[in-house]
Amino acid sequence: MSASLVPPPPPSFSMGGPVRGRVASIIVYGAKDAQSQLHRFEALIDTGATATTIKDSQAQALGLRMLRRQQFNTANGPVVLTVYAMHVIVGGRQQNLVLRKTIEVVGSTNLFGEMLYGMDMLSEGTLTMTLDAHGNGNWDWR
Amino acid sequence: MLDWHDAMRPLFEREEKCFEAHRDRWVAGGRVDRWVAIRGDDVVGFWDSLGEAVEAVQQKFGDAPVYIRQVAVEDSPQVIQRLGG
Repeated sequence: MSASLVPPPPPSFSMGGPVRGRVASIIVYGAKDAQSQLHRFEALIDTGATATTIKDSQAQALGLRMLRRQQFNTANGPVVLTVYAMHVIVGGRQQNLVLRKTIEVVGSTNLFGEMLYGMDMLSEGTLTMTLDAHGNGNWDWR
Repeated sequence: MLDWHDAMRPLFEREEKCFEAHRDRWVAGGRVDRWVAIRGDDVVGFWDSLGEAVEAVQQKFGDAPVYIRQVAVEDSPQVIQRLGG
């Protein structure tokens, strides 16, 4: 029976890090395109965001291409925000394990921190978090 | 003085209407999940990935604004709880 079992394919990427006080962050490199100089973001892993989000001022500074305007639901109700295209590189534990693609990012003037890493990106893999009673532990995404 | 979002508000309204006017036909025609680019009332083309769409639009129009969106049967609610608005 066991001979017929097919082993699962290895993950195409593998990343992880510490969680402190229920807060986990991931380093993301982003630019207008593959030829442009990359900007380093410390992104908050946010399972409460359907879309990855950066500050409008940062999107403009990087010269990101505007794609459209779209409505989003926020803690204070619906708002219409600008959606941009950004070329991102997310590093893995090993140098050859890297996620690299062009994604949509939402621009906001009212963002706490540099970037929210939302479910649009997290759904590319499986996110696992282990937390102790103080909200400290580790996250793993592959 | 207009803030950033007020200044951007009129942008892409025409293209949004074009997208909605064509959406059902595109869905019926098997275009779901493909990326479409629209400029004014003109459909520029369809691509399999956002990266391909952006590259093609950049080559054809430079930095001029072009509406780009993935074709879906309907829009799922987009939520960013940490934003104050």
